[in-house]
Amino acid sequence: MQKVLRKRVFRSLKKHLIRYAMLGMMIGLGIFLVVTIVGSGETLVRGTEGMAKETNLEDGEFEVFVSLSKSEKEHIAKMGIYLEEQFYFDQQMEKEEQGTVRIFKVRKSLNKLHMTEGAEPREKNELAIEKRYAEEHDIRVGDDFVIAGVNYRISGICVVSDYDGPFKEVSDTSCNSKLFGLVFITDEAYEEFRASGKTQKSETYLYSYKLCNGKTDKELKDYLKDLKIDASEVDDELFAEYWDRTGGVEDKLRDAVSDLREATDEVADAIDELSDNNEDINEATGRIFDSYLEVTEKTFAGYGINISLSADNYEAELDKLAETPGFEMLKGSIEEVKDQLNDLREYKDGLKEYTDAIDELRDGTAEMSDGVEELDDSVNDALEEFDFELSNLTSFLKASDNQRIFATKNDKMVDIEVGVIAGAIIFVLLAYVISVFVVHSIESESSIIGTLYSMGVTKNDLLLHYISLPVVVTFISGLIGVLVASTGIMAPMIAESSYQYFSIAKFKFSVPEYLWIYSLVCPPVIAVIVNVLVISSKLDRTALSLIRNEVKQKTNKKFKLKSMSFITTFRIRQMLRELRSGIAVVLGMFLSLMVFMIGVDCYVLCTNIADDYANDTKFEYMYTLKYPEEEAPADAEAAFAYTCKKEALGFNFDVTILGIDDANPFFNVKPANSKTDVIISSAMAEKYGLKKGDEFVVTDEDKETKYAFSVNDITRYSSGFFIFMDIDVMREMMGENKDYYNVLFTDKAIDIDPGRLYSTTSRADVVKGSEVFASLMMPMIYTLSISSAIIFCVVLYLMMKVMIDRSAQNISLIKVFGYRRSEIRKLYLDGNFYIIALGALIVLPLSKKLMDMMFPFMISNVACGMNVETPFIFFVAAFAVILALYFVINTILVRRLDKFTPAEILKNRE
Amino acid sequence: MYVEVENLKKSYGEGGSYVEVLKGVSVGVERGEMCVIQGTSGSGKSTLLNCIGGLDDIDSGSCKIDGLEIAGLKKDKLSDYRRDTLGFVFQFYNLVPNLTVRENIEVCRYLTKDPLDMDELLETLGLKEHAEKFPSQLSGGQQQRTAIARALIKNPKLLLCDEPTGALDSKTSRDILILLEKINEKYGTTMLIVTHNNSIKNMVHRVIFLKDGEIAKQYMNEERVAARELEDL
Repeated sequence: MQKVLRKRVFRSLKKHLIRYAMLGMMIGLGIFLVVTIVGSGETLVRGTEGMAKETNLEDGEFEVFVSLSKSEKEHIAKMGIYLEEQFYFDQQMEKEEQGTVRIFKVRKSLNKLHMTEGAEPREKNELAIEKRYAEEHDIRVGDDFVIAGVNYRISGICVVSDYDGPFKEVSDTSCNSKLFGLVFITDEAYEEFRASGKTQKSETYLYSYKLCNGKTDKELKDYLKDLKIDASEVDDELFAEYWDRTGGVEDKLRDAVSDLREATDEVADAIDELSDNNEDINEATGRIFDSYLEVTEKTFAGYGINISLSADNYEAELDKLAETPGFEMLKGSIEEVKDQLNDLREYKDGLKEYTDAIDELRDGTAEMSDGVEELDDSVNDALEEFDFELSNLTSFLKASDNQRIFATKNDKMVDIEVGVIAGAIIFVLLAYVISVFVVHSIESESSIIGTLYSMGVTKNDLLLHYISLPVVVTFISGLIGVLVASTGIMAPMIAESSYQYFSIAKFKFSVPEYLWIYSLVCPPVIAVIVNVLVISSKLDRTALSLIRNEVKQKTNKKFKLKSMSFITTFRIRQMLRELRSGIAVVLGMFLSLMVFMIGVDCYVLCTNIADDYANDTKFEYMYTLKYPEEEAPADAEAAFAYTCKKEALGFNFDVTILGIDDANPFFNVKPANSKTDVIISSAMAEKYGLKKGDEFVVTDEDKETKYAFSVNDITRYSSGFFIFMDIDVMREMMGENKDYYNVLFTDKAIDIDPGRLYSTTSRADVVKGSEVFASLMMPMIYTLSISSAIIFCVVLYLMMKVMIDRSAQNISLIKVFGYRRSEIRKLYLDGNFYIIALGALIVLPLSKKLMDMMFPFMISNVACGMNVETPFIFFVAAFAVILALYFVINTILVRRLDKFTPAEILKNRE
Repeated sequence: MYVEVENLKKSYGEGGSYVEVLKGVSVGVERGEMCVIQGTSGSGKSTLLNCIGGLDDIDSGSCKIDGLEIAGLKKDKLSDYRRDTLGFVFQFYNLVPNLTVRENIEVCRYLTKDPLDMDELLETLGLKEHAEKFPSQLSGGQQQRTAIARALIKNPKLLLCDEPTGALDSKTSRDILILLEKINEKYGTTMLIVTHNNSIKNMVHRVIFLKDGEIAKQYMNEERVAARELEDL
């Protein structure tokens, strides 16, 4: 049976050729645009991926203070990691407008050069130059190029996968190929340049690596972190000065403790020596005292007086002798002897006390020596704990965290996701429009369907038949759309902005397999689903009700309209009768507005970002410091920035914890004196859906630590994901000293030695970066907006035509009764205006709201806030445009009605 | 009996709009018979035909076709019943406008494994020369013949005709009736014909009169006349 009915499909197609041609054109256009936008994105994504493979893109890179030793490189090789030196010099060109060139050797194995023109340099007077820089400066193969007084000939123009996005610093907000480019010279030329003494900055020891044998970035990083060097090996004065007051305090501390220990030992030795004579002194003094007693005894014995004197009795014996009668004459001499002995004893006792004190001093010094030894050990332990050793590693960047790598791919992912979703909405919309036509056909063929049912034809037979037409139309349209798109006719326009920003080779536009499947399968499948859903209930009636063409009129009963005039009553009843058609028009309007809102949201986001970045960025310059001076310059606001990571919708973004003073004039923030209660930027709140009171966690991948915070407040700041803290609290939290800072904000350019800087970000850079975002998305915005506007017009036209066609018979009937055109318009057509007006009032904000909810998912890989707030005037203008469109379309369609005579329409009805 | 209807009741609406259309109708038709159901507007004749055709539910009673009770059959079983047993012809032909005569007929040919021969049927119904025309290129009679051919192609045992000549002029009506007679004779198709036309009762085997939902009269027509001899069509 389907075989026979299929003939009818093609005849229906032929009969309603204009209608289906318009729909087919819309589907074809939709497919064409989706395939062009997504295909262009995929071409660039796959092209850059292919080139990454071809040029052997690194898995990551790291910088060190001192180039790795042979043994270190061997160890890394044994780990199963391939390394390649990619050392470079940054050289400011003589003419300021030429900016800076980064001078590399020609790469051998990793991140190899892909020549877009010419060849790699072979001679030492040749160089290859990066494509975007060459374009900005109109440099061609064969031109001369002078660096530091040396004349090189351009041998070729190239791109490299590790500078897909040619950002000078990885933290830069935008690329500026006018002021930054890469050049590649031979090994010999590089060595000569190094030896020439004309280098303006020290050489950067950058290594690229490729992981093999299942090794991970972390394993390599852990190994590199453990490579310690002597600070004196670093050939950088600014570093030396910085190290001296930061990491260098370790040596001072060690030296001081060592000096103390030595001095203590010396004192101990001396005291030991001193105490060694104590016994002799005491013995000698004892002996002197004893000898004097003996001499005294002998002297008295010469006078015939025999006495025995000892230290204990000499005073008593001499006093007794002095009192003995007959010795009055000797009394004076005896007292004198006694005094001398007393003095001598005091001397002896004094010496004893002295030597005892010396002994005590020796014991104390021994204890002190032990204490200093303990201090020395403890200091050593503490220094080990705090790791004051200088790690050779200065930066470690995985390819996935490097914004230069796959910058094009990351940008184009938005186009791809937006394109696919917009396409799906367009297909649903158009499938729905087709289903409305099919429903219209079913209703007009109701008695035929009933008759066929009465013969035993089943609902499924007819369902299959009725979805054939949508399937055929959508399939053919999809095929035409994808075939035209596959020629790449519009692809260059879409891709041009990328080629003018990213440093990539020109890729030949191609349509990936999945887009062919998407184009050929998606529209028919969506058509089947939508039509089955819509048609099924229409066919789900009894044969008899279909034959009788019964129309449900239940709705009218609910409304009491007796008090109104005839015209009003009739018009309302007509609107209620045609409510389903009205809903169909409004639904069509809603779906086409959804596509339009994608373009609107993209545009609004870009313009809001540009405006907000300009308004929210109060500083003129932000200096990120590698080696900050001890004291921040007086005309700058010091801050402490620390970068962590936070995941959103599958993407891991940098989040900066920024410690600032209360008085910082560049941020409208008064951070609390708390390690957990923080203020976040509005961009961060929008991206992560955070609000006041929420708790969140950020990860410090370097230290493998997580920090948990609570949102105390949200401040208007759009250019970046920031967590604001009090600088002192942050210093304490991060274990830095009380004066530490690494960022300076200023309202004018200040003089900082370039060697101290990681990067300088000016307000102009920030604003320019935001504008780049808009210019990259603009082709897609225009394409989406224009195509959705066309689709909207066509859908509105077709759906209104259905509404008017459905009324055609009734209109003809009342024409027969003698109603005039203006009256007919009032009765049958003006109701449509209210439906459209009311519908637009509802679906305009609704479609915007829904798209605002979906939009973050479409641009989930973009690190920006989600300010898609749209001015109210936009809705007013959109509403006015919809009504204007309605009037134009209505006028065209009503004129068409005049072509039919009542007799003709009534005859057709029979 | 090929068609056995017992005490069939059918009503519509509820409350104030409740109407009992069939009030316990019992009829029987033998295989191969042509039967006319006559009555005034609202007498319930089309409702009876629809109930027998499984197009309308039955409130109570029984309706057996060739022994198959169709009262209470589920949707798909009813569909099978109609597919295997029935042919329907309506006053308005309800042809698919953008299919030719042949294709309109073919739509139903695929419903059975044992269809009639298409060319023979076209020949029988006088449609051979119009086979490739679209309905809009045919007269009313030709369209109705096409509708009959569409109903007959699957060789139904029972042909239900609801006012088959209602929209036709006298001559064309006669042609259609001759055709139905011919089919009955040739294929032995049992036919139930609902009509206002008083003359048609003269050509059929059995006549049933309905009045206000009840059988007013039914009888076997002992003095049948050929369709071509009918008067006042």
